[in-house]
Order: sequence, then structure tokens, then C-alpha cells
Amino acid sequence: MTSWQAAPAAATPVREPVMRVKNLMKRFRRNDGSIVTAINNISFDVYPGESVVLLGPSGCGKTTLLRCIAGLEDPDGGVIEFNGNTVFSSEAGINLRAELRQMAMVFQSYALWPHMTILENIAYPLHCLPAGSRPGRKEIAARVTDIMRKVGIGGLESQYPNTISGGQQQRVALCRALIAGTNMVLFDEPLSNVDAQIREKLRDELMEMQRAFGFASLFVTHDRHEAMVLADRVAVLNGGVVRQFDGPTDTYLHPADEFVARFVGPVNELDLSAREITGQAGEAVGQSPLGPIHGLLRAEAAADLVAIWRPEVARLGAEEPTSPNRWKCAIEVAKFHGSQTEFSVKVGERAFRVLTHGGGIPLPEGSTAWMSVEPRDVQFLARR
Amino acid sequence: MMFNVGLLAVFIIGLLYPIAKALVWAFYSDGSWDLSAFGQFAANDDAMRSVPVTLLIVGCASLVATTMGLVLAYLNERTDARMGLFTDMIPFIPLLMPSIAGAFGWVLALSPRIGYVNQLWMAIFGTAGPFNAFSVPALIFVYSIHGTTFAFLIISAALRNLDPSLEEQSRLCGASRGRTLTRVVLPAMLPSIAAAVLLVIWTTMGGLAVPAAMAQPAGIPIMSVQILRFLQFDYPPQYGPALVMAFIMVGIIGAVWLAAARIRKLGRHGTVGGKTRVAARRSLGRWKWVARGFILLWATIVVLVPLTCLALVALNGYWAGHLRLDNMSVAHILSVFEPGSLNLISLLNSVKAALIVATIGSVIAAIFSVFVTSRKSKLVTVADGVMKLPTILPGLVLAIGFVLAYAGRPFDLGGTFLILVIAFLLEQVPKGTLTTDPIAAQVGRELTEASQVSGASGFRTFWKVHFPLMLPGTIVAWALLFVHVIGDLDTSALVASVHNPTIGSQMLRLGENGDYPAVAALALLVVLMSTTTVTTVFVLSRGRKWA
Ligand SMILES: Nc1ncnc2c1ncn2[C@@H]1O[C@H](COP(=O)(O)OP(=O)(O)O)[C@@H](O)[C@H]1O
Ligand SMILES: [Mg+2]
Repeated sequence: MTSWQAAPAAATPVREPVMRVKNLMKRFRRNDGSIVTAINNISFDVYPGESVVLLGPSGCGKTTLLRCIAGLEDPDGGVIEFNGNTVFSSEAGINLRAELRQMAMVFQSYALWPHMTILENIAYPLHCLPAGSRPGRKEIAARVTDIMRKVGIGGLESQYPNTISGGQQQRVALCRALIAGTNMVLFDEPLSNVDAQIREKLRDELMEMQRAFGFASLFVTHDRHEAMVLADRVAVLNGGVVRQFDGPTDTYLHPADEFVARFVGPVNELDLSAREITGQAGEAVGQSPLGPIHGLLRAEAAADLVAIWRPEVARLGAEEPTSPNRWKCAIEVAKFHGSQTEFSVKVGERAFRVLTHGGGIPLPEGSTAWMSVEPRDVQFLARR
Repeated sequence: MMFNVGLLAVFIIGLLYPIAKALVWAFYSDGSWDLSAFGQFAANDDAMRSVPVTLLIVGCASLVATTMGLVLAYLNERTDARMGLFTDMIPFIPLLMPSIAGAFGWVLALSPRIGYVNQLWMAIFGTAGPFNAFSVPALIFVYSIHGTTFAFLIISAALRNLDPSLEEQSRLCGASRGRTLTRVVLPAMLPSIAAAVLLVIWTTMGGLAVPAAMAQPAGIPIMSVQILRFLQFDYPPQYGPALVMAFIMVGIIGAVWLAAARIRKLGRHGTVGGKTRVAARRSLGRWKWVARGFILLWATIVVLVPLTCLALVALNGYWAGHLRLDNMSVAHILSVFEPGSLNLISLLNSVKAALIVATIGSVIAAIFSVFVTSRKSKLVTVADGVMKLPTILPGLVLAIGFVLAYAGRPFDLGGTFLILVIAFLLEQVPKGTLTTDPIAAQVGRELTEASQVSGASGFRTFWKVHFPLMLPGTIVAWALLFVHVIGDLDTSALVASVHNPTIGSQMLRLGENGDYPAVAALALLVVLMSTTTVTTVFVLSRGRKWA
């Protein structure tokens, strides 16, 4: 794992995290009696104002992790700290109930109560404050109106949730999460049940709100594009384990293993049967079915290896290049997308993808060409 | 949370205690197993005969009901004879016309000579009318009426879920409409139809109203009446053989119910699409009006005939050979309820019990539903299953247990108002949960959790989120419970007495004494109260700002 404890670029190291999760464990007993480890020893932290995205395939434990943090599920082990307070600790026997954790969550369905007006929905958390710190009716109304105006849904106070649009519902849910003054919001795939066209718009709005209000967020999604755009740091989850916790660029450029590499973007790969270290910085030569391949070793010595490179770092050309990694290939399909062209090529029986900027490369379908990739762009990763 | 668990536990104990007591009472005496009750049962000719006779009559009624239900459902779902209002109304018929009112209404209509339908026949044709309320065919007919509404509901739901492309495919293959109906639609519907037959048997077999009003005077042995006779006509009451019959009845009903559930599951596998397009309606041409006439005729007969007869007798103050319209007066009805009369006391008792049971019962049902749907552990599932026993078991059988458990020592509640409330609650709350369960499920997990995460206590979440969301459904449950209790006969027949009479028990007594004007007056009031309640709730449930 690359930089587990590394502080995010956005936060200065002296700042304390808003939330810290240590060695969290959660098992479920299925109906047939078998045990599922939904969360297996997960640790991470979230800094003030930071956006952390939990990215992983469906069933990898994202929702469970979020629900454990919110107090809706009882973990089997570990520690959860929130704003310096321990809200859960298996060793100390602490398990604060959800209603006492003062966390805020935006649900997948937004979970707006259909029988309450928008005003009542948003004001709800204020009414739930203990008697001493609860503001008066007038102030509650004023605060709700104020936050609604700030997110751009002023005037909807007396509407019911079923009469407003999906985008407005998201903002209502966000207002409800923020109204009590929390500094962190949990999101469980809030964009997954809206149309693809609106999704991007809502996503951008969400980022805008976060910038405007300055809250930290823990955002769950299975969509890598969403994760990349939203995240200051991405935690890639699989099988209840954090595979990598890094900035989006690092995660994309330097994936920790084959799973992460494939999950965050398209890849070309070649199995390696043997490898030999040739330089100080991890330079190595591996033995692939297409002959020797030069790259950077990024796995423990004993691991089963695979050589991986992204389609956009590969090159295509009519002339033989100088790079040590070069193969003569057949152009099968060339798709012109405007800003880039996507090639499907074959080296022998093996298929590869190459993305080139712009069009105009005179490589028609059916012709032969040279594919190459620089050694620094090829990574030898552990197979998963 | 603790409150919910406690409430559910108390309820289940309250329910299981009578069942355990009944088992012990029937088969155990003086410290050893005692099976003499079986002997007593076998020695009683009527009791022995009642088992096959009941099965035969109820079975025939169920076939009639299912055929009628199938015809009505097909006309409504697959042809242009459909009448939306009718479809909407049909589930309410048993609520508007509780069987205790309907059964006596049919007695007044079909009695030999003086039954109003026979009188009408006489007036038109000049010969004696052919109908006889106290005969097997009449019994089958009246049994089948409620069964028809039930069968209609099941079969039209199945028809709606049947993927219309199955039919279209058949017609593209060259099959005629008729051939498609017999070769594709009916076979695909067979599981639902079979389930409907069994479920009609299940709902009608335990009922007391129809046989008490019609079979008892005719001397036709029906199981539910026979149980009543063991307990009320014999002194001391013969609990042993009555319980043996009750167990036989539970055995049959349980088997029928399980078989129906099995078959229905099969039917669901048979329908592929799930939610699919609406089938194209077949145009009946001129026959459309014939079909509509038929549907309307059925609805009219079922509702208006008994109702008119009840009204005529109640308003006339007597029931005799000649129908006179000049003597009708509400005063005749009022005179039935003299201050201090058992009629008035029974009316007040029933209304009071219905109000209390509906109010407490619907709230308890809502609480149970929220609790059970939000917690998916095995224990809760089992507890829910046990709690729902009264939705499967006949009320009369449960009533035996209630009397055994709570009328005598140590509770000594026999003849009190309290035992009525307890018995009705134990019987009706589970029926209420059938209405509130789906609504609790709709409320869903996220709405609850959003409240928790907002910092709301468990009580606040219930009061601000669950309660208002459940309220419309709870009001419907309230109306159902109210109507059930007002029109109850099966529980009243055993739990109520002259010391704590209900409308049901009083009508039973009056019917035995032949005081039909009083019976009619009470029945009419039952219909009136049921109709008012159901309509009010229907109107109320439409006036919501959010949907
Ligand atoms: N209440 C539960 N009972 C049993 N298994 C569960 C329960 N909730 C989640 N799981 C299991 O835990 C794993 C993680 O689920 P979840 O957190 O919902 O995944 P994700 O949100 O990433 O799709 C899955 O294998 C799921 O089947
Ligand atoms: Mg999920």
C-alpha cells in the first residue's frame, strides 16, 4: 500500500482529522448460517473540509461501512472517533446510539419524509436537539429559510417532497444534513438513482455546496468517474478491505494492485512468468508471452505478477519506434471520438487498446502498425 | 423497543394460553390422558354427520362461488364490459353487508310462503313460490355469495398478472379467442382458480351466521352449529366433543389453507412477466350490455334483496303473509330498543366494544407491524407467525379457547364486558396487522434511519415519522376492526351471554325465538353503522395533501 498515513494535499499535517476509523470489523450471519465479513479491519481518516470517496464494486461493504459509522449497524470490533470523541470502541465498550452521534447522512433515496413539508423536513434535526441547546421556533424557521436560500431552493418551504424535482430533493436532503451545524456528511450513493444526464449536474452542484459550506464528506459510490471527480482522496474497497487510499491521480497512475488498476480505469495487461530487477528505482524486466517487457516493479517480491499499462500511454505508429517495449500489431478497429481516437489492436491473438489524442493518424482498419509503451508507464503489479 | 417486545409477548401469551388450555381440557383429566371426548363425539349422530355434510355443502358453495368469481373477473379484466366502479366496490360488499345481516335477510327473503321473494312470485305468477331458505340449495347459494367476492378478488388479481403476450402469442399462432381461452388462459390460471376454491372453503367453513340462520332451523347438521349446540344447548356444556369438533375443523381448515398457499405459489411461478402491460380488452359488441346487466343483476341480488327484506320487516314491526306498505314506521324499529331491554344493552355493548377494540387494536396492530417489519430476526418472524394464528383459525374455535381460559378461574371474567374486549382484541389485532403490515413495509428503513441520524429518540421517530405515515393505513384498520366487531357472531356466540350480550349473540337468541322484527332491526343497524364507517374512511383516506 502506498501512502496509508499520508496526510492529504488539501490539509496541513497539524490539523486533527474530523473522523478516524481504526481496525473496523463487521461480520454478518447470512440466513443459511454462513458468515460474511463485510468489513475486514478497515482504517482511514477524514480531514476537515476534505472529500473522501469510498469506491468499490457492489457488495464490497461500502454501505455497511457507512452504516457502522453512522451508528445504524453495530460493528464487531475497532474504533470510530468523530470530532475527537470516541463514538465506538469495542475495547472500551463504547457504542453511542445513532441519534447521539450527531452525524449527518444523505441516503440513497434521500429519505425525505413524504408527510412533512420541505420546511418541516429540514427543521427536523433542530427540533431533535436537547432542550437546552434547541433554538426557538422563530429562529428555527429563520435558519431553515437561510440555508434554503443559500443552496438555491428558497420559496419551496411549504411544498411536499413529492412535488419537487430530484435535484431539489437532493438539496433538501443536504440542507437537512447540514442544518444542525455538523462538519461532516455521509453520502450513500446519492446519485445512483437519477438519470445519467442529471447525475453530472447534481454531482457538480454537490461539489459546489461542499466548497461553499466547507464540510467534510465521506461519499460512497461504485462509479469511478464520480469518485475521481468528487474525491480529494479515494479509498478503493474490495471484499471488505481497503486496497488503496490515495489521491485520485495517484490511484489512477500508481494503482496498488491489479484490482485497483482495473477498477479505476481501462487497462492493457500481460501475464509475467518471471522478472528480474535491473535498476535502483524498481526498474525490472519481466518475461511475458510476447517476450521480455520493461517496466517498474510495484509489488512484493513473492507476488504473482502482471504487467499493466493504460491505453492512453501506449503509442501507435507506422515506423518502428526505439522503445524497448514494441510490438508489431494489426489494427482491428479505429473509433474516432473527436478529441481522441480509440484503437483496438491485436498482437498475435492478444487484444490491446490504444487511445491517441486527436484524429488524423493514418492507420486504417486492417493495416499493420507498431505499438509501443515506455518502461516508466508499465507497472508490474500483484495479481488479484 | 422494550415496550414493543413486551406488548408482543403479552399478546402471544394471551393467545397461546387459551389454545394450551383447550388442548389440556380436551385430552387430559385427573392427571392422565383421557380420550373419552372422541367417544362422546362419535356417539353423537348429528355431530358425526355434520363433518361430511359441511364439507359437501361448503365444497359445492365454493365451486359455485369460484365459477361466478371467474366469470365476473374475466368480464371485468378482459372484456369491455368492465365497470370500474363495480370492481372498486366488490371488496367492500362483505363489509357493507356483514354475513350476520345478510344471512337473516335471506331467511326473510326465501322462507317458504312468507319469504318476500316467494310472496312476490305468488303475486306475479299466482302459484306458491319455489324458494326455500331452509334447504341445501339455498344454503349453498347464500354461502357462495361472500365466497364470490373473495374468489373474484383472487382471480382478477391473477388475471391482471397474467402476461397478455401469452394470449397474443396463441392468437398469432392461429388459435381463435375461444381456443386461446381454453388452451392458454384457463390452464395458466388453474393454480389461482384451485387456490380460490380452497380459500373460499377456508373462509366460509368456520362461519356461524349462515348455518345458524338457515341450517339450524332446517335440521341440516353443520359443524359450526354443532359445536355451538354442544356448548349451549346441553347442560352442562360438553366441552370435550365440542373441542374434538373444533380440532377437526382446524385440521381441515389448516390443510385447506396450506394447500391453497402451495398452489398459489405454483401459480406465481407460472406467471412470468410480473408487472406487464395491460391486456387488450375483448370487444363484446352487443353482448357487452348483456354482460353488464348480468354483473349488475348479481350485485343487486346480493346486496339489495336481503337489505330490502330486512328493511321491510324492521319497518313493519312484524313479518307475515301479506306485505303491507301503509304500516311502515321508524317507530317499529325504535320500539325494539326500549330502555333496559336486552336489545338496547346488546347494541350499546357492541358499539362500545367496537369503539374500544378498533381504537386500541388498530394502534397495537400498527405498533406490531412497525416492529416486525423493521426487525428481521428468526425469533421475530416466528413470533409474528404465532401472532397471526387468528387470521387463519375460525373465530368460533378461538372463542372456545377464550371461554375456557378467561371465563372461569383464575380470571373469572365470564359474563363481563372485559372478556368481550379481550377476546375481540386477541382475534382482531392480527387481522388488523394484515392491513398495517404492507404500509409499515412501505415506510421503509431509510425514512426511519434518516430520523435516527437526525438525532431523534425512538419515541420521537415513532411519533413524528411512523405514526403520521401509518395513520391512513391505521384508520383503514380501525374501520375494518370496527365493522368486524359490530357484525361479529362467531366470537359473540360463545363469549357473550345474557349478562354481556352483543348484537350477534342477541340476534342469535332472537332468531331462535322467532322474533324476526327485532332481528331485522338489529341487522339493519349493523348494516347502517358498517356502511357509514366504511364510506367515511373511504372519503377520509382520499383527503391527503401528500401521496
Ligand atoms: N443485514 C445483512 N445481513 C447479512 N449480510 C449482509 C447484511 N448487510 C450486508 N450484508 C452483506 O455484506 C456485504 C456488503 O454489503 P454492502 O455493504 O451493502 O455492500 P455495498 O454497499 O458495497 O454494495 C454483502 O456481501 C452483503 O450481502
Ligand atoms: Mg450499497
